[in-house]
Amino acid sequence: MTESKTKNNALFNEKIHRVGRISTAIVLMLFIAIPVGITMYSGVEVNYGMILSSTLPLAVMMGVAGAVEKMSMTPIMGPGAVYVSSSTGNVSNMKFPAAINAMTITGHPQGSEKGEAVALVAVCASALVTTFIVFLGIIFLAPLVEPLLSNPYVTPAFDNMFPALLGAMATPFIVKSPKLAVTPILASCIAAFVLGSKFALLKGFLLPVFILLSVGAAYIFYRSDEKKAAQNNKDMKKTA
Amino acid sequence: MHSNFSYISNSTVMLFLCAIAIIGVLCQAIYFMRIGFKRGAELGIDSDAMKQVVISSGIFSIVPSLPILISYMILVPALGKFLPWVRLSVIGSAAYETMAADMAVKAYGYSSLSDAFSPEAYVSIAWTVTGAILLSALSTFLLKPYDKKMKSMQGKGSKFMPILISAMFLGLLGSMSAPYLVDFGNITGILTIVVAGATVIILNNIGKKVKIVKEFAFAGSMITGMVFAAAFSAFLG
Repeated sequence: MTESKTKNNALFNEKIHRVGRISTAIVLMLFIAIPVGITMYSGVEVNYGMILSSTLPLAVMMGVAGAVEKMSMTPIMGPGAVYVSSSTGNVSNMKFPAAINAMTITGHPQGSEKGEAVALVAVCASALVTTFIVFLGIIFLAPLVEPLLSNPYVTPAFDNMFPALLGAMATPFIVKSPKLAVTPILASCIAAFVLGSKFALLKGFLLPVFILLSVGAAYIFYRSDEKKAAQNNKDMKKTA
Repeated sequence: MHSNFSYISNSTVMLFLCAIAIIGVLCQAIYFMRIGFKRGAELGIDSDAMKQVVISSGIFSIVPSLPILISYMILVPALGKFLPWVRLSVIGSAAYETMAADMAVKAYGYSSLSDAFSPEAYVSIAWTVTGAILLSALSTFLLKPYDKKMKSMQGKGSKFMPILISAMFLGLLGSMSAPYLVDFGNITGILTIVVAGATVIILNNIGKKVKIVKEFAFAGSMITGMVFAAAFSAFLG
Protein backbone atom coordinates (compact mmCIF):
# COMPACT_ATOMS: atom_id res chain seq x y z
CA MET A 1 0.00 0.00 0.00
CA THR A 2 1.43 3.40 -0.94
CA GLU A 3 1.95 6.08 1.70
CA SER A 4 -0.57 8.47 0.11
CA LYS A 5 -3.20 5.75 -0.04
CA THR A 6 -2.66 4.96 3.64
CA LYS A 7 -2.95 8.65 4.49
CA ASN A 8 -6.08 8.96 2.35
CA ASN A 9 -7.68 5.98 4.11
CA ALA A 10 -6.80 7.40 7.52
CA LEU A 11 -8.38 10.75 6.57
CA PHE A 12 -11.49 9.01 5.28
CA ASN A 13 -11.84 6.97 8.48
CA GLU A 14 -11.37 10.09 10.57
CA LYS A 15 -14.15 11.80 8.57
CA ILE A 16 -16.52 8.85 8.92
CA HIS A 17 -16.11 8.82 12.70
CA ARG A 18 -16.39 12.59 13.00
CA VAL A 19 -19.58 12.74 10.90
CA GLY A 20 -20.90 9.58 12.57
CA ARG A 21 -20.39 10.87 16.10
CA ILE A 22 -21.77 14.34 15.44
CA SER A 23 -24.81 13.11 13.50
CA THR A 24 -25.53 10.40 16.09
CA ALA A 25 -25.36 13.00 18.87
CA ILE A 26 -27.81 15.23 16.96
CA VAL A 27 -30.18 12.31 16.30
CA LEU A 28 -30.06 11.33 19.99
CA MET A 29 -30.84 14.89 21.07
CA LEU A 30 -33.80 15.07 18.66
CA PHE A 31 -34.91 11.71 19.96
CA ILE A 32 -34.76 12.75 23.63
CA ALA A 33 -36.50 16.02 22.74
CA ILE A 34 -39.70 14.01 22.19
CA PRO A 35 -40.37 12.95 25.81
CA VAL A 36 -38.89 16.24 27.07
CA GLY A 37 -41.17 18.22 24.72
CA ILE A 38 -44.36 16.35 25.56
CA THR A 39 -43.63 16.54 29.28
CA MET A 40 -43.35 20.32 28.98
CA TYR A 41 -46.34 20.59 26.62
CA SER A 42 -48.68 18.43 28.69
CA GLY A 43 -47.57 19.86 32.02
CA VAL A 44 -48.13 16.48 33.69
CA GLU A 45 -46.02 15.54 36.71
CA VAL A 46 -43.80 12.62 36.01
CA ASN A 47 -42.24 10.29 38.57
CA TYR A 48 -38.66 10.12 37.27
CA GLY A 49 -37.66 7.56 39.92
CA MET A 50 -40.29 5.18 38.62
CA ILE A 51 -39.24 5.87 35.01
CA LEU A 52 -35.62 5.07 35.88
CA SER A 53 -36.50 1.84 37.68
CA SER A 54 -38.69 0.63 34.80
CA THR A 55 -36.22 1.74 32.12
CA LEU A 56 -32.92 0.54 33.55
CA PRO A 57 -33.30 -3.26 33.21
CA LEU A 58 -34.44 -2.92 29.61
CA ALA A 59 -31.74 -0.33 28.86
CA VAL A 60 -28.95 -2.57 30.22
CA MET A 61 -30.22 -5.58 28.27
CA MET A 62 -30.55 -3.59 25.06
CA GLY A 63 -27.30 -1.71 25.73
CA VAL A 64 -25.19 -4.85 25.99
CA ALA A 65 -26.86 -6.45 22.97
CA GLY A 66 -26.52 -3.23 20.93
CA ALA A 67 -22.87 -2.66 21.82
CA VAL A 68 -21.90 -6.23 21.00
CA GLU A 69 -23.87 -6.12 17.75
CA LYS A 70 -22.12 -2.91 16.66
CA MET A 71 -18.66 -4.21 17.59
CA SER A 72 -19.18 -7.43 15.68
CA MET A 73 -20.62 -5.71 12.59
CA THR A 74 -18.03 -2.91 12.31
CA PRO A 75 -15.19 -4.99 10.81
CA ILE A 76 -17.68 -6.62 8.42
CA MET A 77 -19.57 -3.65 6.94
CA GLY A 78 -17.49 -0.70 8.12
CA PRO A 79 -18.13 2.02 10.72
CA GLY A 80 -20.12 4.34 8.41
CA ALA A 81 -22.76 1.67 7.77
CA VAL A 82 -22.88 0.93 11.52
CA TYR A 83 -23.47 4.61 12.41
CA VAL A 84 -26.40 4.82 9.97
CA SER A 85 -27.78 1.43 11.06
CA SER A 86 -27.61 2.45 14.68
CA SER A 87 -29.68 5.59 14.05
CA THR A 88 -32.21 3.97 11.76
CA GLY A 89 -32.67 0.66 13.58
CA ASN A 90 -33.89 -2.68 12.21
CA VAL A 91 -30.24 -3.70 11.96
CA SER A 92 -30.16 -7.49 11.86
CA ASN A 93 -33.37 -7.89 9.85
CA MET A 94 -32.67 -5.20 7.25
CA LYS A 95 -29.50 -3.07 7.32
CA PHE A 96 -26.99 -5.86 7.90
CA PRO A 97 -28.48 -8.17 5.21
CA ALA A 98 -28.63 -5.20 2.79
CA ALA A 99 -24.92 -4.54 3.40
CA ILE A 100 -23.99 -8.22 2.94
CA ASN A 101 -26.07 -8.40 -0.24
CA ALA A 102 -24.36 -5.28 -1.65
CA MET A 103 -20.90 -6.73 -1.03
CA THR A 104 -21.97 -10.04 -2.58
CA ILE A 105 -23.44 -8.59 -5.78
CA THR A 106 -20.50 -6.25 -6.38
CA GLY A 107 -17.95 -8.91 -5.44
CA HIS A 108 -16.17 -6.69 -2.90
CA PRO A 109 -15.17 -8.65 0.20
CA GLN A 110 -16.33 -7.86 3.72
CA GLY A 111 -13.97 -5.57 5.59
CA SER A 112 -12.31 -4.28 2.39
CA GLU A 113 -12.33 -0.56 1.54
CA LYS A 114 -14.60 -1.12 -1.47
CA GLY A 115 -16.79 -3.47 0.56
CA GLU A 116 -17.26 -0.77 3.20
CA ALA A 117 -18.17 1.84 0.55
CA VAL A 118 -20.89 -0.31 -1.07
CA ALA A 119 -22.17 -1.44 2.35
CA LEU A 120 -22.53 2.20 3.38
CA VAL A 121 -24.55 3.06 0.27
CA ALA A 122 -26.70 -0.08 0.69
CA VAL A 123 -27.51 0.68 4.34
CA CYS A 124 -28.43 4.28 3.49
CA ALA A 125 -30.66 3.16 0.59
CA SER A 126 -32.34 0.60 2.84
CA ALA A 127 -32.87 3.23 5.57
CA LEU A 128 -34.44 5.68 3.11
CA VAL A 129 -36.79 3.07 1.63
CA THR A 130 -37.92 1.84 5.06
CA THR A 131 -38.51 5.36 6.37
CA PHE A 132 -40.52 6.14 3.24
CA ILE A 133 -42.65 2.99 3.60
CA VAL A 134 -43.31 3.66 7.28
CA PHE A 135 -44.27 7.23 6.32
CA LEU A 136 -46.70 5.89 3.70
CA GLY A 137 -47.89 3.55 6.44
CA ILE A 138 -48.98 6.36 8.70
CA ILE A 139 -50.66 8.21 5.83
CA PHE A 140 -52.64 5.40 4.25
CA LEU A 141 -50.73 2.14 3.76
CA ALA A 142 -50.97 0.48 7.20
CA PRO A 143 -54.77 -0.07 7.18
CA LEU A 144 -54.51 -1.41 3.62
CA VAL A 145 -51.64 -3.81 4.36
CA GLU A 146 -53.00 -5.09 7.66
CA PRO A 147 -55.78 -7.33 6.21
CA LEU A 148 -53.30 -8.81 3.74
CA LEU A 149 -50.65 -9.55 6.36
CA SER A 150 -53.18 -10.95 8.83
CA ASN A 151 -54.69 -13.27 6.20
CA PRO A 152 -54.25 -16.84 7.57
CA TYR A 153 -52.62 -17.98 4.30
CA VAL A 154 -50.17 -15.07 4.23
CA THR A 155 -49.32 -14.93 7.97
CA PRO A 156 -46.91 -17.95 7.88
CA ALA A 157 -44.92 -16.22 5.14
CA PHE A 158 -44.24 -13.17 7.33
CA ASP A 159 -43.86 -15.28 10.50
CA ASN A 160 -41.03 -17.03 8.71
CA MET A 161 -39.55 -13.97 7.03
CA PHE A 162 -36.48 -13.91 9.27
CA PRO A 163 -35.65 -17.63 8.72
CA ALA A 164 -36.03 -17.01 4.96
CA LEU A 165 -33.71 -14.02 5.20
CA LEU A 166 -31.18 -16.03 7.23
CA GLY A 167 -31.19 -18.88 4.73
CA ALA A 168 -30.60 -16.47 1.85
CA MET A 169 -27.89 -14.55 3.70
CA ALA A 170 -25.97 -17.34 5.46
CA THR A 171 -25.95 -20.23 2.99
CA PRO A 172 -23.48 -18.82 0.41
CA PHE A 173 -20.96 -18.15 3.20
CA ILE A 174 -21.47 -21.55 4.82
CA VAL A 175 -21.02 -23.26 1.44
CA LYS A 176 -17.90 -21.15 0.79
CA SER A 177 -16.25 -21.79 4.18
CA PRO A 178 -17.85 -24.91 5.70
CA LYS A 179 -14.84 -25.51 7.97
CA LEU A 180 -15.13 -22.05 9.52
CA ALA A 181 -18.92 -22.27 9.83
CA VAL A 182 -19.11 -25.52 11.82
CA THR A 183 -17.91 -24.20 15.21
CA PRO A 184 -20.07 -21.05 15.57
CA ILE A 185 -23.22 -22.69 14.21
CA LEU A 186 -22.82 -25.82 16.34
CA ALA A 187 -22.01 -23.82 19.50
CA SER A 188 -24.95 -21.45 18.94
CA CYS A 189 -27.34 -24.33 18.24
CA ILE A 190 -26.29 -26.19 21.40
CA ALA A 191 -26.72 -23.01 23.49
CA ALA A 192 -30.10 -22.24 21.88
CA PHE A 193 -31.28 -25.82 22.46
CA VAL A 194 -30.18 -25.86 26.12
CA LEU A 195 -31.35 -22.34 27.00
CA GLY A 196 -34.61 -22.36 25.03
CA SER A 197 -36.45 -19.03 25.26
CA LYS A 198 -33.73 -17.58 27.59
CA PHE A 199 -31.37 -17.56 24.59
CA ALA A 200 -32.91 -14.37 23.20
CA LEU A 201 -32.56 -12.57 26.54
CA LEU A 202 -28.92 -13.64 26.97
CA LYS A 203 -27.92 -13.09 23.34
CA GLY A 204 -25.95 -9.93 24.10
CA PHE A 205 -23.77 -11.85 26.54
CA LEU A 206 -23.54 -15.00 24.42
CA LEU A 207 -22.60 -13.35 21.12
CA PRO A 208 -19.01 -12.46 22.19
CA VAL A 209 -18.57 -16.09 23.30
CA PHE A 210 -19.69 -17.42 19.91
CA ILE A 211 -17.48 -14.93 18.10
CA LEU A 212 -14.45 -15.84 20.23
CA LEU A 213 -15.10 -19.55 19.65
CA SER A 214 -15.46 -18.92 15.92
CA VAL A 215 -12.27 -16.84 15.73
CA GLY A 216 -10.38 -19.33 17.93
CA ALA A 217 -11.36 -22.27 15.70
CA ALA A 218 -10.52 -20.23 12.58
CA TYR A 219 -7.07 -19.48 14.03
CA ILE A 220 -6.42 -23.16 14.69
CA PHE A 221 -7.39 -24.02 11.07
CA TYR A 222 -5.24 -21.13 9.79
CA ARG A 223 -2.18 -22.29 11.76
CA SER A 224 -2.65 -25.89 10.67
CA ASP A 225 -3.02 -24.82 7.00
CA GLU A 226 0.13 -22.69 7.31
CA LYS A 227 2.05 -25.63 8.79
CA LYS A 228 0.81 -27.89 5.99
CA ALA A 229 1.85 -25.34 3.36
CA ALA A 230 5.31 -24.99 4.97
CA GLN A 231 5.70 -28.78 5.07
CA ASN A 232 4.67 -29.04 1.40
CA ASN A 233 7.25 -26.40 0.48
CA LYS A 234 9.92 -28.34 2.34
CA ASP A 235 8.93 -31.59 0.62
CA MET A 236 8.98 -29.92 -2.81
CA LYS A 237 12.44 -28.48 -2.16
CA LYS A 238 13.66 -31.91 -1.06
CA THR A 239 12.34 -33.62 -4.22
CA ALA A 240 13.77 -30.80 -6.38
CA MET B 1 -57.76 17.27 34.11
CA HIS B 2 -57.75 15.09 31.06
CA SER B 3 -58.35 11.41 31.62
CA ASN B 4 -57.23 10.45 28.13
CA PHE B 5 -53.80 10.94 26.58
CA SER B 6 -54.78 11.53 22.93
CA TYR B 7 -54.59 15.31 23.36
CA ILE B 8 -50.83 14.73 23.86
CA SER B 9 -50.18 11.76 21.57
CA ASN B 10 -51.96 13.17 18.51
CA SER B 11 -51.07 16.81 19.09
CA THR B 12 -49.34 19.12 16.63
CA VAL B 13 -46.45 19.43 19.09
CA MET B 14 -45.99 15.67 19.01
CA LEU B 15 -46.19 15.64 15.19
CA PHE B 16 -43.57 18.39 15.02
CA LEU B 17 -41.17 16.70 17.49
CA CYS B 18 -41.45 13.33 15.72
CA ALA B 19 -41.12 14.81 12.23
CA ILE B 20 -37.97 16.73 13.23
CA ALA B 21 -36.39 13.54 14.63
CA ILE B 22 -37.17 11.62 11.45
CA ILE B 23 -35.86 14.43 9.25
CA GLY B 24 -32.64 14.35 11.33
CA VAL B 25 -32.21 10.64 10.64
CA LEU B 26 -33.00 11.08 6.94
CA CYS B 27 -30.37 13.84 6.69
CA GLN B 28 -27.81 11.54 8.31
CA ALA B 29 -28.62 8.74 5.84
CA ILE B 30 -28.52 11.08 2.82
CA TYR B 31 -25.22 12.66 3.92
CA PHE B 32 -23.63 9.28 4.51
CA MET B 33 -24.92 8.07 1.15
CA ARG B 34 -23.15 10.99 -0.49
CA ILE B 35 -19.96 10.09 1.38
CA GLY B 36 -20.38 6.47 0.25
CA PHE B 37 -20.80 7.46 -3.42
CA LYS B 38 -17.78 9.77 -3.28
CA ARG B 39 -15.70 7.10 -1.58
CA GLY B 40 -16.80 4.55 -4.17
CA ALA B 41 -15.70 6.87 -6.99
CA GLU B 42 -12.36 7.47 -5.24
CA LEU B 43 -11.79 3.72 -5.01
CA GLY B 44 -12.69 3.21 -8.67
CA ILE B 45 -16.07 1.53 -8.19
CA ASP B 46 -18.09 2.40 -11.28
CA SER B 47 -21.32 4.31 -10.85
CA ASP B 48 -23.37 1.52 -12.45
CA ALA B 49 -22.30 -0.84 -9.67
CA MET B 50 -23.30 1.77 -7.08
CA LYS B 51 -26.69 2.25 -8.75
CA GLN B 52 -27.09 -1.52 -8.78
CA VAL B 53 -26.44 -1.53 -5.01
CA VAL B 54 -29.05 1.18 -4.41
CA ILE B 55 -31.72 -0.60 -6.48
CA SER B 56 -31.04 -4.02 -5.03
CA SER B 57 -30.96 -2.72 -1.42
CA GLY B 58 -34.09 -0.65 -1.95
CA ILE B 59 -36.05 -3.53 -3.45
CA PHE B 60 -34.85 -5.96 -0.80
CA SER B 61 -35.96 -3.55 1.98
CA ILE B 62 -39.59 -3.37 0.83
CA VAL B 63 -40.66 -6.82 2.08
CA PRO B 64 -39.09 -6.61 5.58
CA SER B 65 -40.65 -3.12 5.93
CA LEU B 66 -44.19 -4.48 5.66
CA PRO B 67 -44.31 -6.18 9.11
CA ILE B 68 -43.21 -2.82 10.55
CA LEU B 69 -46.58 -1.48 9.44
CA ILE B 70 -48.27 -4.22 11.47
CA SER B 71 -46.23 -3.20 14.54
CA TYR B 72 -47.33 0.35 13.82
CA MET B 73 -50.98 -0.68 13.83
CA ILE B 74 -50.44 -2.53 17.15
CA LEU B 75 -48.74 0.46 18.76
CA VAL B 76 -51.12 3.20 17.54
CA PRO B 77 -53.91 2.51 20.09
CA ALA B 78 -51.31 2.52 22.88
CA LEU B 79 -48.96 5.31 21.86
CA GLY B 80 -50.97 7.44 19.41
CA LYS B 81 -50.27 8.14 15.74
CA PHE B 82 -46.89 9.83 15.90
CA LEU B 83 -44.75 8.20 18.61
CA PRO B 84 -44.89 4.73 16.94
CA TRP B 85 -43.98 6.44 13.65
CA VAL B 86 -40.76 7.80 15.09
CA ARG B 87 -40.06 4.72 17.21
CA LEU B 88 -40.25 2.48 14.14
CA SER B 89 -38.22 4.85 11.94
CA VAL B 90 -35.45 5.73 14.41
CA ILE B 91 -33.01 3.49 16.31
CA GLY B 92 -35.28 0.62 17.39
CA SER B 93 -36.79 -2.31 15.58
CA ALA B 94 -40.34 -3.54 15.14
CA ALA B 95 -39.83 -6.46 17.52
CA TYR B 96 -38.06 -4.37 20.17
CA GLU B 97 -40.55 -1.50 20.14
CA THR B 98 -43.57 -3.72 20.71
CA MET B 99 -41.74 -5.51 23.55
CA ALA B 100 -40.48 -2.26 25.15
CA ALA B 101 -43.91 -0.62 24.97
CA ASP B 102 -45.53 -3.71 26.46
CA MET B 103 -42.99 -3.85 29.33
CA ALA B 104 -43.37 -0.11 29.97
CA VAL B 105 -47.18 -0.36 30.06
CA LYS B 106 -47.00 -3.22 32.59
CA ALA B 107 -44.48 -1.31 34.74
CA TYR B 108 -47.09 1.44 35.13
CA GLY B 109 -49.72 -1.00 36.34
CA TYR B 110 -51.71 -1.52 33.14
CA SER B 111 -52.44 -4.98 31.82
CA SER B 112 -51.92 -4.45 28.09
CA LEU B 113 -51.24 -2.01 25.28
CA SER B 114 -54.98 -1.67 24.65
CA ASP B 115 -55.73 -0.17 28.09
CA ALA B 116 -56.72 3.51 28.41
CA PHE B 117 -53.77 5.30 30.05
CA SER B 118 -53.74 8.48 32.05
CA PRO B 119 -51.73 11.36 30.51
CA GLU B 120 -49.09 10.85 33.27
CA ALA B 121 -48.73 7.18 32.36
CA TYR B 122 -48.52 8.02 28.66
CA VAL B 123 -45.70 10.53 29.13
CA SER B 124 -43.88 8.09 31.45
CA ILE B 125 -44.22 5.31 28.86
CA ALA B 126 -42.79 7.66 26.21
CA TRP B 127 -39.82 8.29 28.52
CA THR B 128 -39.33 4.57 29.13
CA VAL B 129 -39.41 3.45 25.48
CA THR B 130 -37.00 6.28 24.62
CA GLY B 131 -34.65 5.72 27.56
CA ALA B 132 -34.52 1.96 27.10
CA ILE B 133 -32.69 2.25 23.79
CA LEU B 134 -30.30 5.05 24.83
CA LEU B 135 -27.46 2.88 26.17
CA SER B 136 -27.43 0.90 22.96
CA ALA B 137 -27.33 4.12 20.90
CA LEU B 138 -24.59 5.58 23.11
CA SER B 139 -22.42 2.52 22.53
CA THR B 140 -21.91 3.96 19.02
CA PHE B 141 -19.40 6.34 20.61
CA LEU B 142 -17.13 3.36 21.38
CA LEU B 143 -16.78 2.59 17.66
CA LYS B 144 -13.89 4.95 16.92
CA PRO B 145 -11.21 3.43 19.20
CA TYR B 146 -12.43 -0.07 18.38
CA ASP B 147 -12.38 0.53 14.62
CA LYS B 148 -8.90 2.12 14.87
CA LYS B 149 -7.60 -1.01 16.57
CA MET B 150 -9.18 -3.29 13.94
CA LYS B 151 -7.88 -1.13 11.07
CA SER B 152 -4.35 -1.10 12.50
CA MET B 153 -4.44 -4.91 12.60
CA GLN B 154 -5.63 -4.90 8.97
CA GLY B 155 -2.91 -2.38 8.03
CA LYS B 156 -0.20 -4.74 9.24
CA GLY B 157 -1.21 -6.97 6.35
CA SER B 158 -1.87 -10.02 8.48
CA LYS B 159 -3.04 -12.93 6.32
CA PHE B 160 -5.29 -13.96 9.18
CA MET B 161 -7.33 -10.70 9.12
CA PRO B 162 -9.74 -11.67 6.27
CA ILE B 163 -10.24 -15.03 7.99
CA LEU B 164 -10.89 -13.27 11.29
CA ILE B 165 -13.57 -11.08 9.67
CA SER B 166 -15.22 -14.13 8.08
CA ALA B 167 -15.09 -15.94 11.44
CA MET B 168 -16.72 -12.97 13.20
CA PHE B 169 -19.40 -12.85 10.52
CA LEU B 170 -20.09 -16.57 10.84
CA GLY B 171 -20.24 -16.21 14.65
CA LEU B 172 -22.84 -13.51 14.20
CA LEU B 173 -24.82 -15.59 11.69
CA GLY B 174 -24.65 -18.62 14.00
CA SER B 175 -26.20 -16.71 16.90
CA MET B 176 -28.91 -15.25 14.63
CA SER B 177 -29.81 -18.61 13.06
CA ALA B 178 -29.58 -20.93 16.07
CA PRO B 179 -32.98 -20.17 17.67
CA TYR B 180 -34.67 -21.08 14.37
CA LEU B 181 -32.46 -24.08 13.59
CA VAL B 182 -33.30 -25.80 16.91
CA ASP B 183 -36.96 -24.79 17.02
CA PHE B 184 -38.29 -28.25 16.23
CA GLY B 185 -41.81 -27.07 17.06
CA ASN B 186 -41.63 -24.92 13.94
CA ILE B 187 -40.49 -27.30 11.22
CA THR B 188 -41.74 -24.76 8.66
CA GLY B 189 -39.08 -22.31 9.89
CA ILE B 190 -36.27 -24.87 9.58
CA LEU B 191 -37.40 -25.89 6.08
CA THR B 192 -37.76 -22.23 5.11
CA ILE B 193 -34.07 -21.67 5.93
CA VAL B 194 -33.17 -24.68 3.76
CA VAL B 195 -35.40 -23.63 0.84
CA ALA B 196 -34.18 -20.00 0.86
CA GLY B 197 -30.58 -21.25 1.15
CA ALA B 198 -30.93 -23.68 -1.76
CA THR B 199 -32.62 -20.99 -3.86
CA VAL B 200 -29.86 -18.45 -3.29
CA ILE B 201 -27.21 -20.99 -4.34
CA ILE B 202 -29.15 -21.80 -7.54
CA LEU B 203 -29.79 -18.12 -8.32
CA ASN B 204 -26.16 -17.18 -7.62
CA ASN B 205 -25.05 -19.85 -10.07
CA ILE B 206 -27.49 -18.59 -12.73
CA GLY B 207 -26.33 -15.06 -11.85
CA LYS B 208 -22.81 -15.92 -13.01
CA LYS B 209 -24.24 -15.96 -16.54
CA VAL B 210 -27.24 -13.62 -16.21
CA LYS B 211 -26.23 -10.48 -14.32
CA ILE B 212 -29.72 -9.31 -13.38
CA VAL B 213 -30.41 -12.60 -11.57
CA LYS B 214 -27.39 -12.06 -9.31
CA GLU B 215 -28.66 -8.60 -8.42
CA PHE B 216 -31.97 -9.95 -7.13
CA ALA B 217 -30.81 -13.37 -5.93
CA PHE B 218 -30.96 -12.37 -2.27
CA ALA B 219 -34.41 -10.72 -2.31
CA GLY B 220 -35.72 -13.46 -4.65
CA SER B 221 -34.50 -16.24 -2.36
CA MET B 222 -36.01 -14.60 0.70
CA ILE B 223 -39.38 -14.27 -1.05
CA THR B 224 -39.16 -17.87 -2.32
CA GLY B 225 -38.56 -19.00 1.28
CA MET B 226 -41.57 -17.01 2.45
CA VAL B 227 -43.81 -18.37 -0.33
CA PHE B 228 -42.67 -21.88 0.61
CA ALA B 229 -43.54 -21.18 4.29
CA ALA B 230 -47.06 -20.08 3.30
CA ALA B 231 -47.56 -23.05 0.97
CA PHE B 232 -46.14 -25.58 3.43
CA SER B 233 -48.31 -24.24 6.28
CA ALA B 234 -51.39 -24.43 4.05
CA PHE B 235 -50.41 -28.02 3.13
CA LEU B 236 -50.07 -28.96 6.82
CA GLY B 237 -53.45 -27.37 7.43
